Amino acid sequence: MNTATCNPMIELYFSELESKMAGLPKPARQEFLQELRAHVLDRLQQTAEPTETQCRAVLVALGAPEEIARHYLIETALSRARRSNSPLLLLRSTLRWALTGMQGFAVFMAALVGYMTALGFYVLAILKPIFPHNVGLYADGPYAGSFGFNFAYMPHPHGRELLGPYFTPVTMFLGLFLMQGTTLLIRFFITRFGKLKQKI
Amino acid sequence: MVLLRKPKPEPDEKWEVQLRKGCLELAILASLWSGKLYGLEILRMLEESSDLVLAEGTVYPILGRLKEEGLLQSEWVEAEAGHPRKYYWLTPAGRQKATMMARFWNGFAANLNHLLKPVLNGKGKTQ
Repeated sequence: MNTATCNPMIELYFSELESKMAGLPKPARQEFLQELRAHVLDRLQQTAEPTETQCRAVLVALGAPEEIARHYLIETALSRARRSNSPLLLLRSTLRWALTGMQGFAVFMAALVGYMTALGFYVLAILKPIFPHNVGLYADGPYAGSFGFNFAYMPHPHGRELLGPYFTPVTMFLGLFLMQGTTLLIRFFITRFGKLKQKI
Repeated sequence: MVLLRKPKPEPDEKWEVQLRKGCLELAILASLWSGKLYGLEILRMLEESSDLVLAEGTVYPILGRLKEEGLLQSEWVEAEAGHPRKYYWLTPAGRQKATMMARFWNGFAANLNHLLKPVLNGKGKTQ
């Protein structure tokens, strides 16, 4: 089989396909491309010397590179999220899941609340050295029972703050714990219940 | 085998497209019921028995996802064709899912056919 006339067209097609699939991890992407190449070669093998028209027909029947890449990204989105540690990727995946139903929405809200609370703890940790009397876990005084940041003007110590110098490390730890915990929880939900209904 | 297939009739309603996409997964699983196939063989089977495939390239991502879900397994096999081919087959979970989907489809289609009988017979009251 001589695909000389076809090769430039094929290479153009596959280089476009490869660039559109850049969002996928390399080994998976390489395997997909190899499989599609095998498909094209098999289709062309049915003629001894395929003409340009026939080659184009094969590629057109296969589909536009953007469409194929889009389908690959959709189909693998949930499985990529299942393995990921990135809060942003997990939030994006659960948001997509949220758009398909109540279950996904609940998981998305859990992710959002978890990550925002973790962020809140980090912010408190940073603010403590800057505004030592506005931030803290107070047992006594006018702000007894509160834990967090108070916007009032407070130049002097007031009441009994429970954590003292440990406030920053404690809140940092809580932030980290909540961040990791949310990630693990969301990944668990995705694995057990995740179903990304393909956007038809 | 003819390289240029006869042109497919244009789906004149989006509904047809929806229906095809909805059934594609079941069709793919069913095509693998009797043995290992590679992508092109699966496509040929789908084309013969139905008009299911729109863009051929969209079958491959679905095969990838079904494998991720544990319903299929795959392996690359060297062929005399010169390039290796990726063969797929059903896992036990895949056979289970295929059976379940096929039964659901059967029941669903039977009910719908029942409803459609008068429509197809052309009988009935005119308003």
